[in-house]
This record gives sequence, structure tokens and C-alpha cells, in this order.
Amino acid sequence: MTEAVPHYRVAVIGTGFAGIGMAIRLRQAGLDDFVVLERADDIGGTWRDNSYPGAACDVPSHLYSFSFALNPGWSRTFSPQPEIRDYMRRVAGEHGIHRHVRYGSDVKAARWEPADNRWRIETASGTVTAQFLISGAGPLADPVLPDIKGIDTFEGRLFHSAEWDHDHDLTGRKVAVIGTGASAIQFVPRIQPKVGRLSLFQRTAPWVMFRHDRDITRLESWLYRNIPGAQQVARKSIYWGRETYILGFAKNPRLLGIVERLGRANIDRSVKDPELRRKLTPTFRAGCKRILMSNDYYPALARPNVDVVTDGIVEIRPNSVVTRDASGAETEHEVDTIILGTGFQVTDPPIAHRIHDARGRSLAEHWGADVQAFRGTTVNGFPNAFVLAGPNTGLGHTSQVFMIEAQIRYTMEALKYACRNRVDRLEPRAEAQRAYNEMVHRSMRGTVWVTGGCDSWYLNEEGRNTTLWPTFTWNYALRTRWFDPHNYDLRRIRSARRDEAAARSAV
Amino acid sequence: MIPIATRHVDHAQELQVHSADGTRLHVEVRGPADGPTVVLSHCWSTSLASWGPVVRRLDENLRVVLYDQRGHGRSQTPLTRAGYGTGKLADDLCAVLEATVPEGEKVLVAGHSMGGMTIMASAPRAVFRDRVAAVLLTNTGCTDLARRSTAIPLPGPLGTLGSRIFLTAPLPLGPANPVSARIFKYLVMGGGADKATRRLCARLVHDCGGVPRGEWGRVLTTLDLDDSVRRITAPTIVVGGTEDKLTPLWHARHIGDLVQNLEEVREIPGLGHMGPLEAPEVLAELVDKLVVAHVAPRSA
Repeated sequence: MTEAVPHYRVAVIGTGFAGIGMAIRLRQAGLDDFVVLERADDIGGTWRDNSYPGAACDVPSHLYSFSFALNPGWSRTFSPQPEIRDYMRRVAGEHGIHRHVRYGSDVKAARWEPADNRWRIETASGTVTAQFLISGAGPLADPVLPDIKGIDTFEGRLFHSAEWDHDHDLTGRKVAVIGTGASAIQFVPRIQPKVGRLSLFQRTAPWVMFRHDRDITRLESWLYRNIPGAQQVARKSIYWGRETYILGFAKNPRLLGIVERLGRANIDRSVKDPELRRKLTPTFRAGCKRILMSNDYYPALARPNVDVVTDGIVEIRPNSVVTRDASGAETEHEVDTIILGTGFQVTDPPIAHRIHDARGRSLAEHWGADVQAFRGTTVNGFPNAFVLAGPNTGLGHTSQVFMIEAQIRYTMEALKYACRNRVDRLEPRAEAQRAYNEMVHRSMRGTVWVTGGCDSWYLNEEGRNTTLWPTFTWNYALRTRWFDPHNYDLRRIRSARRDEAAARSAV
Repeated sequence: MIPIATRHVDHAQELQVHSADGTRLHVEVRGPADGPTVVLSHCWSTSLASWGPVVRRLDENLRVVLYDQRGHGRSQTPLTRAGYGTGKLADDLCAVLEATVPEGEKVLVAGHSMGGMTIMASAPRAVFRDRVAAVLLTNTGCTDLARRSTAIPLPGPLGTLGSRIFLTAPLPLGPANPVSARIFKYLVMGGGADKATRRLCARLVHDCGGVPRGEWGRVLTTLDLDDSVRRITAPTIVVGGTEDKLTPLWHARHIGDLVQNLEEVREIPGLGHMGPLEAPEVLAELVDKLVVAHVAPRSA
């Protein structure tokens, strides 16, 4: 025996909605023997890191929150990031989660040790072991830095929107923004009035809808505070309203023609220049990429200090970005700041490179391009491990927290089953996982995400959608309502050890 | 919010204090910065304004710290059920003590009803032991609240059940009206309360959100702080009212039996549950007395 490695029943990775929600449910179930591993020094995950100007949720706040912690105090229908981060801190605080969190514990590697029936988890702050490993690392955790020639040679300031440099004053600067995804359309309108010149490098134009964002009235707040259930009614109406989007996305993409008309109207309202209109009008079916929501994105692009560049970037030089148009002519755009709105490593999450099975093969190697899990949560070959916000549990139309809570419930049911039946190891059967994923991909056929004619972060290299849940979210919630032991290999280890001990003591 | 009128209203300094779990509390500090400090904790479903009549009658040289309990007044309302509990009350009081009382200084804490429970729940905390020189508890109890209550005039278990429902119902009250004023008068006031006092009480209660009120009521029905009360070592005065239906005199005597350093159990004839509104003179006098006897003036 060398140094004593702390052992826990459960180790949770991350303190985003998944990690906090999981920790709260564990405590509520009376399981206190767990640790939460957090790489930073504060909780909040994606909502802590993405503090760029204008960061907000594009799902209404009444829905984008824990079902057990409705907040009558939201200030806006679509709350800004600081409010969401505070909300998460308060919910975690009220449940005393901080006591369980090990900060500065970036997980370097986790390895399954079959002989001891436990996970050995190496973190930046030392090693811990745990019988169950729950990853709440999430897909929007690690930024993508694009592989553009010469990006290292840039002499100005370059940063990703998820690692916003708040000390860098943008006033009067010549700024390049690369990417026009959900982050970029939120921060571009905020920085546009400040900067001297803004060049927006766009590969594919997104569909941007009008957002009905408004202050929550005092009357509403009063109702939520005083009438029990009033906020639940608001929440459920938003949920079912949002759920109808699936009829267009998955059931009949032709319905999305209506959305496209609204999107074009949104462009025409703010942009008068026909050339710019053409650049900003998407060429694919609405919904294929995430539909974005903003009221000030198009008006900002119509301002004289903004230049929308649709030519591909070929090179970054110390003081400029170089693009090449269809005819092969190169243009040099002089800039002193580059902001990357290039998104996250979704289809190849870094945490999958750090979780290893008994033979040392990582989850990423095990998956290859075909990321898959059983019910989006457990993976054959990786016993006693649960992946929250796992494969095919993402959403394009409604609250991710809803899916996370469904997964948490499923994980809790599995843990309860294991405790009640003294099961020490559970692992989904390969054939159950295969059948489940065939079902998912069958439902994916005909949806806008694969037929819409675009390449998005939802798709893997083979063009399969391994990110999104393909149908109604209540369907997923029902599938994960109860634990299904028949789909698992269950083993009892300790009883065997106990028998040995009994045999020894008998001799 | 209902403003509170005091003689030294100009000096009111408003603070935001974060409790241990991050809940933001509204704190008001009044009076001279170098005076002996009194920390006042208010009761269920009112706000710090319920101490107004007492503050107005206190010695002008006292520094008075008032705060809104979570879910009341201008403090944040907990988001989840886990945010309510006697442990949280104690967290909040300790956070206020740490934020407003300089290291090494001793203070008087006074609590009315749920504010008294706050003080009793905080007794085992180190911050409390370090900074509290004297304790005043009025119209409060530490155990068996629903069973001892005589608010619902039904026999035995029915009365207990009635009290329990009354405490936990998150019933919205709507705007203040004569009917609710009558109900409050019956439930919480003694016979001698005048019209202005009754109206102030109704306004305070109407100001409190129905949901947090019900959640706190749930905490009150399961209250059991006997062990914690035994650990109050500071000199203590307990006040009870003969007409208090929510925390009858039994509670005052019970607390008097438990605390280690009892000065007095004061039984006020004709007093209902709202001591700070109904008998502010007596409470102000007791505060002044405790301060003079036990709260050392600053070693300046």
C-alpha cells in the first residue's frame, strides 16, 4: 500500500447542468459518498465559460431550468448568461453541493479496473477511485480552434468566444469574426457599435428568426411567487409549444417552408442591400443547422462598418486574414483582432479520449466515428459508467436540461437497482445497444438534419447524426423512466469476495 | 416594500449580504457607526419592517442591524425546497453577523417568532458564540409548534391538523382587505391591539409571497431545536404573551428551562403573537437593559 487514494461510491465529472443536477439527485436519494470533479475553480460549466457579450439562452428560461427549481425571478423570457450562471450557483448552494466539489480537478484519464471493480480517475489534483463514474462533461465544453494556415503567426489578439478576453478593449479596432453560429450572432450585434471595422467571415449563412424576448412583467413574477403551480403552467405551455417544432424537423420537413418564409422576412426587414441579402440568405432547408434567434443580428450587419465576407479563408498572416473567391483571386483583410465563433468539439468530445476500458482502449477509439450509447447514457465495454448529455441526446428545438434530467433519472434508477439488488457491476449488452441505435437511426431518416442539404456540427464525418435525439423529447423521457435490467449484464462481485472471506474464517 | 420610520432614518445604510449558499440578503444598518450593536431578526411572513416600532423607541446611540429573512422582503427567495430550513436560517444570521459585526465585538441579538428560531438554531455556530453577548427572544418556540398552538379552536389532533394546514398553505392573499385583517387580528394579535397596528400587520403579511410563506410554514411544523437551545450560553431574556395563540406561554417557559443563562421570562398580559408591533415599549426597554448590562461598548 502506497499513498491512500480516496475512494467514493460515485464520481461525477463537471459542474454544468448535468453535474449539478446529478449531485443534487444523489444527495436527495441519501447517497452522500460521492465527489464532483471540476476543472475550473467555480461551478457552472458551459454557462460559466461562455461569458461573451450578449451571451443568452435561446430557449425560454422557464423551460431552460431544473424542473425542481423553477425560478420566479427570471428577468427576461430569454435570460442572459450571468443570470443563468447565478441560478446554477444558487441551486447548487441551496443543496450544499460545494462540499462535494473538488475544484481544479481536470480529469486526465479514467480507467476501469475490473479486479477491484472500480474506476481509477487521474485528475490534475490527484487520483481518486470510484465504483461508478458519471460524466457530465457535455458536448459544448471544449472550443474548436480552426486549422487555418498561419493561425499561429497572427500578431494581434486572437481568442475564442468561449474564452472571451474581457480585458481586450475592442473600441475602434479592426476585428475579424470567424463563424456565424449561435455564439457569433449573439456577440456580433454587441461589439459592432464599438469596433472600428468588423469583417464577418461566413462559410454558410444561418437561418435567423425573430426572437420574442421581453422583460418578465411584475404581474407574472407576482403570480409565480404567489400562485402555486402558475409557473409550472407557463413551463409546460412552452414545453408543448416547442415540442411541435418536431413536426417540422423530423416528421414533415416541408412544413419548414413556413419557417424559411419568416426567416427571409426577417432579412428583408433589416437588410435593404440586395447583395448583402443574397449573402445572408441560406441555401439549405431551415432546421438542418441550428435555427438561430436574434432581433439585432441583421440590423448590425447592415451597418456601414460591417463587411460580410463569404469567400473561403486560405491563410492568416501576422496582420491580416486572406480569402480567395471563386475565381481564385485573393483578398487581404487587414485586422488586429480575431474572434473565433467556431463552436465546440461536439462529435468528438475530448472526454471520450480520457475514459478507458479495462484494456486501455479509450471511449473515442472504441467509438471511432460512430459515437453511440445505449439510451444515450451507457456504453457496452464501459461498465458502471454513465454519460450524461451523451450521444443522440442533443436537441435543436427545446431545453437540453429536460434531456439531462431524463438521463439523471435513468442513472439514478440504475444506481438504485444496483443498491437494492446488491449488484456491483452493470454494463449494457452489445445487442441491446445495437438495437437501440438502429432504432435511433431509423427515426433519423427523413429528418431535416440529414436531408436538409447542409453540413452541421450535428453530423459526424460519415454524415450520420450522432448528436441529436430524432423525435419528441417525451419519447426519450418515457424510455428512460425506468431502469431495464434485462438489457444489462449484471454482476455481483462483493458476494464472491464475501464467500471467500466466509470460507477462510471457517477454516 | 414597507418603509420603516425611525428617528435616525437618514443613517440607514443598505447592504447586500450573501449567505453561505449564495442567497442574497437585504440588510439595513441604522444608527451611529460606533454604537453598541443590536441585530434584529424578524418573524414568519413579514419583513424587517416589523421591528420598526421597536427601533423607533430604542436608544439613539445604538447601532441597529436589521435584515430580511430569505423569502421575505427584499431578500432573495430560495429556488428549491432545499433552500428552506433551520440550518439556512442560521446560515443567514451568521452571514449577517459576519458582514456587519467587526471581529472581536459582541452584540445583542433579538428575534421575534421565526427570528427567535433563527437565533436558537444558530446557537451552536462558532460565529454566534464569538459575537453574541446577550439574547432576547420574543413570542417564539423551539419545538412542537403545531401541537401547542391554540389558533385553531378545534379539539386535540384536529386543532393540530388545523394549525399545520394554516402554516403550510401557500394560499395567495391578494390585496389587503378587511376580511383578512380580521383573520390576522384573531390569529396573531392580542385583544388590546389598536387599528393602526392591525393594519400594519396585515400589510406586512400581505407583502410576503404565498409560496415562500408556505415553505417556511412547513419548516415551522417540523421544528425541533431543543438541543440547540441548550447551547445558548449568553444571558437570555424570553418574552411571551398571555394571548399568544401561535406560540403560547408554554413555549416561553420551555425555552426558559432550556437556556443556560436565563435572566428572566417576561410574561406580558394581553400580548398576542406580534410582540414588536403590540408591545414595542417593553421590548425596547428590555433591549436597552440587556445592552447596558452585557454588550460592552467598543474598546475605543
